[in-house]
Amino acid sequence: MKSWGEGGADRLSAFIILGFGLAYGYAGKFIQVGFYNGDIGPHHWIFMVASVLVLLGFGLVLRPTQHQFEMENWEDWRMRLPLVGVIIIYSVILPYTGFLGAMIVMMIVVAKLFGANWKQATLCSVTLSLLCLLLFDHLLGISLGRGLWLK
Amino acid sequence: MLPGIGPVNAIAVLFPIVYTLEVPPATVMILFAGIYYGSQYGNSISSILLNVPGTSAAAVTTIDGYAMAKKGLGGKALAMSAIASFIGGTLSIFFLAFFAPKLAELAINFGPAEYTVLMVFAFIALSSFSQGSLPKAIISAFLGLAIAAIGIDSTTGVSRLTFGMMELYDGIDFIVVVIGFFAVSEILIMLGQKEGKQSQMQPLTSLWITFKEITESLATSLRSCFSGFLIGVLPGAGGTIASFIAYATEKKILRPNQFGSGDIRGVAAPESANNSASVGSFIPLLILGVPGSETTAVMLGGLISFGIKPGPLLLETSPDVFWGLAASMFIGNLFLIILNLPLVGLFAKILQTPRWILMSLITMLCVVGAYTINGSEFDVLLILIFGLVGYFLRRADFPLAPLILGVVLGDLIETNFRRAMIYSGGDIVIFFESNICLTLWVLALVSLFAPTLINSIQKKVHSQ
Repeated sequence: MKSWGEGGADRLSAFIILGFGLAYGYAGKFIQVGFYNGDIGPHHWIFMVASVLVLLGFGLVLRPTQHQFEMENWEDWRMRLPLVGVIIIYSVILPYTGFLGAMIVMMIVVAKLFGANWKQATLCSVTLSLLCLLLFDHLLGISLGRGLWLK
Repeated sequence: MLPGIGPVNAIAVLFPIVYTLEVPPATVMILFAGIYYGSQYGNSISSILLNVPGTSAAAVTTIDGYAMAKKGLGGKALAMSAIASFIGGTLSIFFLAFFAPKLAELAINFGPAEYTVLMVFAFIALSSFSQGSLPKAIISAFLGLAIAAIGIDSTTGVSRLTFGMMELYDGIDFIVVVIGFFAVSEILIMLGQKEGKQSQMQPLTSLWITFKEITESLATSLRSCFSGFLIGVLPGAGGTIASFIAYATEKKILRPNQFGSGDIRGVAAPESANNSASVGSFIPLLILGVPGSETTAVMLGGLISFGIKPGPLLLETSPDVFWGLAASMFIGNLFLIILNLPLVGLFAKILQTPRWILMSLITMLCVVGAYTINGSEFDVLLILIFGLVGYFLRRADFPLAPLILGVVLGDLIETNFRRAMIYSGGDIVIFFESNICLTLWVLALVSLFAPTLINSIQKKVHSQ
């Protein structure tokens, strides 16, 4: 597998940190400040944190540590993206379907991604979701989201 | 015990449950502490039988532990690991009960400037002892501070970086950050790993250990307990360094030895040291409010969430938390040795649980945990975002412990820094005036260079 050039990975992450620091500091400009803030107001702290991030990011661009890592294997993201997608779907459908429906869908996908067959994935997701609902909602009294029809 | 899971993830997924159930803080601390030092023993099972340390603190145990298991002495190694863990864990509780009140008396003179410098020392110590480069560790800490600054400013009540989103007004709960950066990023990493990479598990043999073997290892356990405790007290050091130093010291002291090829004292030394270090790490956590590791950083966040302010006044304001914890550690250690030896066969079987069951369960607990904190789907999305960021940070070798420390201490360090600046009229000399501040700066400098020395010890251990 190819690897990023010497220090190349560090430079890339340093640029991202640098960009984040600049954006963070810029966002700090929009904090509404009262007429008295003592010697250091709520926006100064943001500027301080942003400055350090920018400085260190810049330093890492100039002098990257001798770090190489294997280039991201985008094939693996064929496994990771469904997980990302299913968590997003879970949070979107939870208010409508309630915990049980949303969790069973999510768990089937997760179990499949980790190598279970359809039968195992379905059994595992239904069992664990029911146990979780029983434990949290019924025994501990913690609501996990009831969905539209139970509201 | 399960490789890759570790005490941080266990605490992270359990925290929302105890928080929602409004369990008393002392009970929560006892639960978390039990997970923390219990995991030190649990790690040795996978280290000895699988040659896979659950966490870095158990890495040294694999050297002699796995060698013993290959010779058919795995049961003996596990029994010694339990006995040494018991000795290390129990003795260090007495050290904790003795030293903590003394340190609290000293720390009572801390003002805002001293607290600020103390937290800077904690950041430097944790960053310099983290694996990887120091600039990356400092960047990680400042990313944590950046996250902690989101929400209503506690001093002026002004909202910061909320972009009009109501969900961000209360700030980002530290446990959402922990679940995202540790648990979710771990799941993403595990998705890229093939299951076939697992090591062959060695069969579990008889746990019988002779009296002679115990007496031969007693001095090793006692010495390692003492050194482990001292290292555990230092913020940033902790179990990994303690076990490496104990192993290296014993290897030098004990001649002749068979360290590296299955010496039972090679199991006793790291196990006693890492248990002792885990107890020692409670001193800076409870008395100074400075966590020494990612696990204690999460515990600190937990304490703060429950309205308990760790620090020199903790012994007076919440004696139940401190003394309850000390007493529970003693009972916990006793239970560890009583339960672990007969149940080790069962624990070894848990290691063979199919990955799809384990990971499905962990994913479910992460999502449920994030949701139960505020009953908000927004937090579920946040753990996903932090998980993705955490994944890339880990790939790029950025340590995550300083980031968590930044999130946990962010509000405290900012408040104390601003207070100190107000007292001094904006003069930064206040951070260098008192003897306490100067001592802390010196300690911070020492901790900057200590990893170089410790690395050379570790290299020596590996090369021999």
